[in-house]
Amino acid sequence: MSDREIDRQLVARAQGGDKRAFELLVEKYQRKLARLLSRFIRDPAEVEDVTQEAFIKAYRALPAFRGDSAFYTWLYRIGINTAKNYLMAMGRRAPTSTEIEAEDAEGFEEGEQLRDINTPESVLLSKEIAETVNATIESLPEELRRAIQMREIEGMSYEDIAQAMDCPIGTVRSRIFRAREAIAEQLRPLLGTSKERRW
Amino acid sequence: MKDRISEFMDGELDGEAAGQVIDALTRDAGAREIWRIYHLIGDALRDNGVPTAWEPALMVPGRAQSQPRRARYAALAASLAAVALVGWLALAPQETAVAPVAQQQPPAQQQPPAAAAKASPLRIPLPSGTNDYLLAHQQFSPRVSLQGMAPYVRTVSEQVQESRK
Repeated sequence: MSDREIDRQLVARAQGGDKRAFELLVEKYQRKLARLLSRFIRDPAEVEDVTQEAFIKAYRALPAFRGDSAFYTWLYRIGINTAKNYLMAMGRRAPTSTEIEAEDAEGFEEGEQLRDINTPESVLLSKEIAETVNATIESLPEELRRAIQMREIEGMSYEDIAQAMDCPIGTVRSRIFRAREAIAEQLRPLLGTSKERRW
Repeated sequence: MKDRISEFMDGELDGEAAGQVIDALTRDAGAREIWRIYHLIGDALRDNGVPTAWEPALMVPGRAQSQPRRARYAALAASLAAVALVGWLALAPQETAVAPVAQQQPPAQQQPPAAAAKASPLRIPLPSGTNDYLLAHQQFSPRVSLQGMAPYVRTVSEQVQESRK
């Protein structure tokens, strides 16, 4: 099942009235969309507001979403329009169509030139999260580190990773999961979540 | 189930297995927490060390803040403007009330510029009974703002001192 198919199934459930399904989409894309909008809006607090407004608009327009494009492409357009309307209402310059078209929704990747969207209140926590993730990655066994990096950074499929690492797909699956769990275990104290949950 | 969530978000589950994970994610808060943390890890790794905010589902409709931040700022600005306006009305000198009267003074009573700078406030001769009228009707006056009341208070006070002399 492709990433687009995952989104399509979550959208279908949300269109059927399952708000939790839409919540999963929000948790998946909120940081990506906020980073995109931070290209046009400087104030992190305003970025947060506009991102939130974009998700609310998307939720309200969800019944009309037919799935002709990927969910993020559709969400991306709503986010851009919301940002343009916001900037115009504030009497500021909205991004031109040329600037917007320069960003391809499907191919958009957050680059290192993007500004940090954190609010001052969350800077310390965010820094700790990033440091913890990086420190844990560095401490992982080589095979786990390579597997998670190829998956998350390079976007490779399990099959491609298996070929690159010359191991069975099942081993790739296990390595990526173990890497995620090792990082999550270090993050939980920072995030105030408990490992004692059922999952 | 954690390993299934890991597979599912990587697009490596199909059919019924994927449906079971979606069921779990929509029904169980613990499963959603795993989904949230795993996506946070991915975002943090892709950002190459740039801090990533941990804002769990603040943007879900229904959990949205009742008032946008910019609206709160606008309300605060409006409150400050109102306080500033009231303060200005209360404390600003009542020049507009004096100026027209000064223009009515006959030329013979005008003083040289140097002396005018040191001159005491103008004393306006009022018809007899004016003080009683003002005092009696002040509370009924439609001009109950500080700007309207201040000249009356000053005038009455001056007139009382004049009568003592």
